[in-house]
Amino acid sequence: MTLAEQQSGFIQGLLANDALLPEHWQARERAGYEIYRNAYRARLIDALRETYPRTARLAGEEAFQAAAAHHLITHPPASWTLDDAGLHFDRTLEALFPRDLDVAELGWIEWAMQVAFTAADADTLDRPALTAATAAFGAQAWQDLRLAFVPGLAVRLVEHDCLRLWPLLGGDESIDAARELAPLSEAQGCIVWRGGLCSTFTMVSAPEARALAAMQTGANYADACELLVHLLGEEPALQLAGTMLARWLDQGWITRVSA
Amino acid sequence: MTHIEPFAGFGLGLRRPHYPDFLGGDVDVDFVEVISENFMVDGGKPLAVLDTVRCRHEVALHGVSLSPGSAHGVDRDYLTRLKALADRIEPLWVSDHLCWTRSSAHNSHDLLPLPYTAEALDVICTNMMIAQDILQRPLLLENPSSYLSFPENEMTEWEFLSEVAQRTGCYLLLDVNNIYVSAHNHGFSAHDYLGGLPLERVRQIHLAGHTPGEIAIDTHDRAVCAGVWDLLELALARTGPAAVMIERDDAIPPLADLLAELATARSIAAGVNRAAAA
Repeated sequence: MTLAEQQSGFIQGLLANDALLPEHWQARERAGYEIYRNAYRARLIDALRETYPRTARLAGEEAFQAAAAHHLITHPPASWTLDDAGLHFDRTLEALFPRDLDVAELGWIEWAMQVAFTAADADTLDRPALTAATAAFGAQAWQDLRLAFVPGLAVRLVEHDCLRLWPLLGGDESIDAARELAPLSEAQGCIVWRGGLCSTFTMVSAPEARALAAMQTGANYADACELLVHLLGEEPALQLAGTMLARWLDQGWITRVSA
Repeated sequence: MTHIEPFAGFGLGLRRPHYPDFLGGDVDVDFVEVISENFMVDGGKPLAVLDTVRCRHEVALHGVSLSPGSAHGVDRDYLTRLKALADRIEPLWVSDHLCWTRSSAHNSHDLLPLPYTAEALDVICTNMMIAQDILQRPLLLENPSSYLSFPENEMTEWEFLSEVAQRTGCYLLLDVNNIYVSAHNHGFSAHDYLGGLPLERVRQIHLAGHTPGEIAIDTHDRAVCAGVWDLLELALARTGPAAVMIERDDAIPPLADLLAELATARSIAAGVNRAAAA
């Protein structure tokens, strides 16, 4: 057996309880191997618990451990960094807890906050800087306006009021209030980013979140306004188009404008 | 490949609970060691903390994901990121472990044991040469704790490690707790282990606590035991000047407790130096 074959077999054995160990191994080798197998699972489940502390509280320890173990089987880690072990865990949670989507939504927030925490540093644009950058813009340039956003900024729609949910899971007190929180009457947008050195999130209306997501993936300001008109009608869309740009600047989400 | 000068200092691992201590004032250490992977990121707080700490202390980069013993080769993207961090921090040195962590598809995030065979020796020497070439510096390689000894072994761990150092020009990070743990687990003599290594290539020494048992576990969650202090004294008498530090990764106590342990290490080193001068 080559070293490559031996190492592939060793790793397969860590991933699966029923993997066959080499026949010539005695009790001592098998006992030693069990230490590596147990350490693998414990380390990775601990890593997920560290990334997803509030999600773990909301799901409950037993359910969270089972979900984490399931995720490690379906998504065994491939990256050099342990931080990536939780990649796509929110999708696993969505599949495992289809009737409790707040668990997956909270998981998405915690993952996005971890990503934002170590995203590249960037200087942000404030209102005076935008005014200066667009001073020479004509009507066409405003329509063509494109924005670059801070690294790590993430957007999605959620069905629960995550701003209310978050503090209910932060301490040692009962989480009954968190479990009883009713879904929103309509979906809202959740935005995660890093302000200074700390990750944070806020909620915005669904149309604003959709406009932001569109511009994040390359749509220009005219495209975003058209989307808002489609979602809200002309008058409310025009109002939102103006206020949202100011909010994005004030929150520190925009790094650059171009036309 | 450049030479690494000895650095005879005393240090601690930089761990999150102690960030305020290190950021807030003078901590009585000569260097800190950081886990490289925790700082191989694009930006944010980790790098801001490390930059600040680097202004006050020498820093050693200690990795856990190089996987030099991997038959599937080194991860060049990983090494490129590690080099960027080393260029930014200008560390005393960069170290990792005599182990492997991943196959072609999966990463165990554990320091897995190698069979000490001629094939494994060729693999790790090739990988170390590539890594040192990309990093443009010699590495320090640390002896691991292990819980499994392969029936296929063709040489002892110290013979294997010595051969890697000889062939690749790497230096050694001597973990005396790991020697203690593995000697217990595999029934070899810690003295034979020390006697079999090219100790003049040791640039750093690790101390840590472990969980005793039929199979001892390298848990880094408690104080250094008496047997490991004895081994430190023996090692320091033979290595010459080296950087000594205490690793604590779990049940992390207040910084003052670790500084008190480090004072024990200083005292032992001073005794060794006095004996050598006498």
